[in-house]
Amino acid sequence: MEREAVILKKSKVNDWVNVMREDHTVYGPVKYKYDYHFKELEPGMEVTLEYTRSMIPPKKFLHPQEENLITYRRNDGMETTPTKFEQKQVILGVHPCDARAIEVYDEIFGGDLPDVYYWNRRNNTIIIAVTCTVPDENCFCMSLDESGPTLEKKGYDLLLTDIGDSYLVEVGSMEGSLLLQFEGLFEKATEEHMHAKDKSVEVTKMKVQRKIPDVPGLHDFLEHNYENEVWAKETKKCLSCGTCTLVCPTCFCYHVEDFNRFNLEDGNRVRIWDSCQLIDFAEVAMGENFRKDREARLKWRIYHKLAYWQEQFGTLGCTGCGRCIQYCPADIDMTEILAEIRGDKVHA
Amino acid sequence: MDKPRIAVYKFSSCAGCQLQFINFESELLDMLGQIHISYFKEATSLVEDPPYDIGFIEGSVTCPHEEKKIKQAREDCKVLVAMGACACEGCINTLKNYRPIEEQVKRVYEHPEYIDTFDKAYGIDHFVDVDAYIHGCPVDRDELREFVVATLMAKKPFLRPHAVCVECKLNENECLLLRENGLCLGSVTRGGCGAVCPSWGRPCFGCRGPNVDANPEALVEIFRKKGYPDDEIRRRFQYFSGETPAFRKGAEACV
Amino acid sequence: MRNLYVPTKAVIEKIKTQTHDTKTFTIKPANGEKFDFEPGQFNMVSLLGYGEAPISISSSPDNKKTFDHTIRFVGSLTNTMEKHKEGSIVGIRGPYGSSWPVEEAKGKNVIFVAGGIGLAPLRPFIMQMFHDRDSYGKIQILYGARGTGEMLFTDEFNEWKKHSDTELHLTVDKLEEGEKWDHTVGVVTVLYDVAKLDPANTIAVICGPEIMMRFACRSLLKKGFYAPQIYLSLERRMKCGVGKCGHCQLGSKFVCKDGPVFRYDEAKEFHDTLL
Repeated sequence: MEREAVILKKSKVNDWVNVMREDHTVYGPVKYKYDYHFKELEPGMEVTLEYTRSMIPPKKFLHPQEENLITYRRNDGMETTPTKFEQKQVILGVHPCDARAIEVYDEIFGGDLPDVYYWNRRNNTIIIAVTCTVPDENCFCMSLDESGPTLEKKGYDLLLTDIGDSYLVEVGSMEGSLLLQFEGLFEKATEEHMHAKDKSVEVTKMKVQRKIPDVPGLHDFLEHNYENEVWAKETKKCLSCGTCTLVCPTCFCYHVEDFNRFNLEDGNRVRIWDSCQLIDFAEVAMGENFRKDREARLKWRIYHKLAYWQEQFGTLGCTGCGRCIQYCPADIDMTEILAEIRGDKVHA
Repeated sequence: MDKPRIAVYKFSSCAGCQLQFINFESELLDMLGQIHISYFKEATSLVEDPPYDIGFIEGSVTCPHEEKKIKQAREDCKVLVAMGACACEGCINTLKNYRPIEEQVKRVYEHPEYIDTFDKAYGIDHFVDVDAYIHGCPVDRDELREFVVATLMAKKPFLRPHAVCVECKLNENECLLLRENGLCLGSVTRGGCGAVCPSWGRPCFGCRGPNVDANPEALVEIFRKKGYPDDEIRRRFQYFSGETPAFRKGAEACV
Repeated sequence: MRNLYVPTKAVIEKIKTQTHDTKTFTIKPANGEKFDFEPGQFNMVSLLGYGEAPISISSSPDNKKTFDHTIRFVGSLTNTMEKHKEGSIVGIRGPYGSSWPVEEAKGKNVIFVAGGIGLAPLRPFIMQMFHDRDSYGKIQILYGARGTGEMLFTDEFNEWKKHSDTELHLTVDKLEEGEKWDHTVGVVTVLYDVAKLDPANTIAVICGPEIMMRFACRSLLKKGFYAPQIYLSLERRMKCGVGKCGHCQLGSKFVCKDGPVFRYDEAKEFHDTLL
């Protein structure tokens, strides 16, 4: 099938952002001191599409760190309106690993019991993905999806790929194509441009060096190695700080708390990102804590993502984005743990 | 129901924690609709006699007369709350705990002979039973509100037992430990402060004491790998909360 | 799209004291709509300002007008429940979760093993069987509690025993000094010998503290039961009840959605349980 595509000169990216901003809130990766962060793009801000990863994934625009579920007056009812969207939000520069994670989110927050707060955001979100060109040593997307640094036909409204002085812009949805209706920004793409993309992707794929071998066998492999001594060794290093999960694009867990005001009448029921690595995550009312041990918590994250997720949601819980490796202060690296259990040589 | 009678005490401290009550400003009237201030010298010179329903203790106990006073406060208050790092962990008053007291008294005071002080400073639970702790230097206003409101509603307050790292990530702070090799105690320190110091680019000093399952030995290893000498690591653990079991472990892991 | 997180208003119609720290609340949806549930399911009970907690339903599923929650006062939310009066409003979301094997048990003998508050989630199943007595074989209810003062539904026990082919065996862990007790003393598994259990054409359903269920299940295996004959109900932290908040996950399951009732052969494969 022929791909529907146009060309956008790199020099025109900012112009495009500006015209999109007229009817949308546009977010994109912006460099701070050390890391990239998805921020609202305001006039004069430079968006960077050649970046390796943002610290917090774009999931925050669909499932924010904190979200009000219910505003209540204890003796006088409640209001439960999900956030209103005056205009749609565009997330520009979503990497394939993060776009795949959003597809995972669609499963989690969908199903028989869809989450209206999530879908209210999701249905008002346009994803402009970008083929990754600068993977680093922590990336291992190729082990989890053979398309690796790019997306094949789904998971995006538009997909940009760097082909030199331009981006090839492929259309994934009607909503995406509506963002290409601006005069003077886009040119027709030719076969040649398509080839340039394919070549660029091939080059990037070569750069993704880190691997998890035998992904389909992970469930059985992990179950066989639940008592492996590597776990205790890694547990000694672990700070249980929750970082690995908070930066993870597929982690979705949240806590719910009622915050009351001094009049003891008004308050908000709020959900806040939670983490299975934290001590009270599996604690129940009478004090029983089913994952009190640090080791059980450390294992749960990895087992959940790599062994159980497939059966639960039909995909893996990891997209190989490398965040949990890069941002762990204790250098805990699940790909190296797996390698060590397998007896493979571990790079220092 | 009568409004609970509140007392706010000051021991060895800077008065910054009790100031957080006054800092409620626009919420003060709502707060005073729920509680009755019986004893709070920073706020009012009117003093009512005990007993009090809830006593908020600011400050650590550093000298014999404070020991008497805290024991009296315990008797006078049905519920006793340690408010802030000094009352909870001893805070920077405990810096004196790691050197001979005579030397320090001489260094600070012109007439050391007038000084009657303990060798060490302590959080108040060294002397009396404490019913609840609100951590921080100073206490975080949102946490103080949460504590007061939850207590009035007979509810368990939401006070994070987790490391500061959680809120650093929620705030999207860039990691000072990883990115600047900072001597940041956030990963072993109880959050709830909104990661206020790292949010302003300052590594966590551990003023809130250890989080519930802190792993200080692991953090010592990380600091060492970053090239910090043990002496400097130990001093960091002893800065605000050195007398807590977890931070003591961290300090003791340094040679 | 319906908002899953909005509790439905419900009125407390009746409150009955069970023990010194446990009461049964009979609750009715405020809009008068009927409430349909399966034995073993739970509701998220919601008190604005205090949050929500998963609490099993303890009444007969035949009653569609009201439902019961038998609540032990052990935390902020449940302690606040204790202060509620008849006529008070609470929020309800549910019913959620899997149910006891009501259909599967038809034509079979059923053994109930309950510990303490664990009798509450089993009661709807027991009531269902009494209602449809001829569809089931022998009923053996084995109930253990820490002390005589901790037993729930004691005023119904005589009624229960009147049903044909129904046994009720009681035990307490400990007696107060000088306390009179006509039943067994010891943990609930001592009743296995008292009741003479027969694994043939039988299923066992178990509910209680997880450590009690561990011993209850393992002892049944020793009595010749197979794991697939045994069902149990797990308690886990839950914030949503609908498979979103993530707290209750075990293996590839959500306890809120795929459980709380699991077959023992599945449950014992999970890590991070006491089973």
